[in-house]
Amino acid sequence: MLRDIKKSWSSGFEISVPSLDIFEGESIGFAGPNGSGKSSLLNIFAFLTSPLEGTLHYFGKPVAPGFEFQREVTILMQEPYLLKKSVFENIAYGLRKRRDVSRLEERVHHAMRLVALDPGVFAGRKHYQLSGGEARRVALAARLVLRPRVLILDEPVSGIDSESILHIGEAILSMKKEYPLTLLATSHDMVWLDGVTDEIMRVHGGRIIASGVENILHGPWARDHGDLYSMILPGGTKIYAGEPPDETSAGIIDPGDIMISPRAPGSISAQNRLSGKIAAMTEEKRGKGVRITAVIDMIELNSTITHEAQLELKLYPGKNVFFLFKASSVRWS
Amino acid sequence: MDYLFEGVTGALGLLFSGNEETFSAILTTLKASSLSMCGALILGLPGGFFLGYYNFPLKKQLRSVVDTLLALPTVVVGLLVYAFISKQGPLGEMGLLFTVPGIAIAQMILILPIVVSLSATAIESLDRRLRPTLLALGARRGQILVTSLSEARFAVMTAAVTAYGRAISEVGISMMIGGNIKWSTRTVTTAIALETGKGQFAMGIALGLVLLVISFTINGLLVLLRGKDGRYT
Repeated sequence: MLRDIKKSWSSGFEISVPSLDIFEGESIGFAGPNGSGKSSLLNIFAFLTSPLEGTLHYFGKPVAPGFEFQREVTILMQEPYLLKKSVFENIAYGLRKRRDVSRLEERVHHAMRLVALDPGVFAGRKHYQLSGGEARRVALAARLVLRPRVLILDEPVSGIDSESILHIGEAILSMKKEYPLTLLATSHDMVWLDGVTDEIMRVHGGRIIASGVENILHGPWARDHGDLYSMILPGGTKIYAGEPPDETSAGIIDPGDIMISPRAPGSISAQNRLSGKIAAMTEEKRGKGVRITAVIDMIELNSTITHEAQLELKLYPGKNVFFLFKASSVRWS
Repeated sequence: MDYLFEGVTGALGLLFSGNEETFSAILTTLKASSLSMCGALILGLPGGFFLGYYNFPLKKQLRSVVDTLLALPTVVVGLLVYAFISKQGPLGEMGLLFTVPGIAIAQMILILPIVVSLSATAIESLDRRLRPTLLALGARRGQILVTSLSEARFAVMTAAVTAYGRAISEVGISMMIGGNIKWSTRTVTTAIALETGKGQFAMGIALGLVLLVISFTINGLLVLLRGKDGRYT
């Protein structure tokens, strides 16, 4: 539980979380662009950074200097570091430091199998004999073997091979089946993040601005024509919105406010008619329709439509579509 | 130049004939420098870790002092330690003057700054991700110290070997504190000084070569400790 958390850096960047409750067994994803404060937030959760203001409670107990439960929480950092030891010793390290060495080999091998590393092949390998994806899986196994109460993953699947991405996701899900693991994770891969978490929170400028699969438009915004403001996507496409609080504000669009058309629309009141290609189609949690993710000028936007609409429009991944929404649908963080 | 040739053949002769006087000096040298290195490592590694790992007020100034002490002259250390352990000194009753432990203590003071400075540099140059990784895996303060030194083992061992090299090759302390007593505190370096003083250049060169062989052996052990591909395993 976080209340009025604030932490600022000399660069002027500030993390601000007025209120956030995370319950045991929950899996929360944090999404946002680089520099939005996701990692800083995770470091606060992992007790690696102390907030300057506010209160942080861990399962009801206030976090104070000298607290004893740090060993229940572990974090896998964005670029994990492996000790200059064998794979086995890297994974066993945390258990050895806890003097918890009963059935050590069995537990280390179990953790290795969770991340799809064959103990017979990898246990004796040195830290420098691993690929990037294998090293990431070893680092994850070193955390999973501890059976943490809270597992924090900072970009666990960035820059690694697709096989490792799959195995990391499977390892997390199988741990969650074994016991009520509380998971906090960040990723730019929204499909992966959505697959391993129950809820996604969107982070922008050090603040949690939205939850779920809401689309976030990070600006900057400039006055266009009339009362409209616009931001320009990397490929030159403009997105129109009403007046933002300031030019760096993040615009939020509910996926339900975006309509999909397989053809270029004729006369229509929506100012935003964006052409893109469907990248993914996923069932919304709790049966709330189908989420269509399209790549438009190198950014991803989500639209939620009903199953009937999906069948009627004959949508499939790779199909070119138009995303349509009014400028007034864009609200501000 | 004949004495150079005589020196080389003399060195081989001294080593392979089992000359007792030479082996006594070698043993004293190894005893004194090994004792001093153990002491310097026990005190210097935690000191180096503290200096390299933590940020505290006056850290830079303390670092400058330690770095300056790297150039500590052996005779100055010898003189100070002599003043402390001689009969009139505050530690005179301990009877350390003209003993191997006395030499070792003075040598330890000489090489302590080397161990502190080089291990602090080794800790400073460790990957910045190491500390949060160890914290994330549940390591406590003492465990972080041991693991950090283990991760920097190449640099730490280099520090130890550099310090050992300084201790084994110094002559001022051994002469002043040890007194160059035959069969007791005569080290290889004080023996070289004595033989050269007597005009026995060949003997001096022979003993010098013995010293070099010891240094090569220690460095050879260090190379052996490195993995096949140049990494410490």
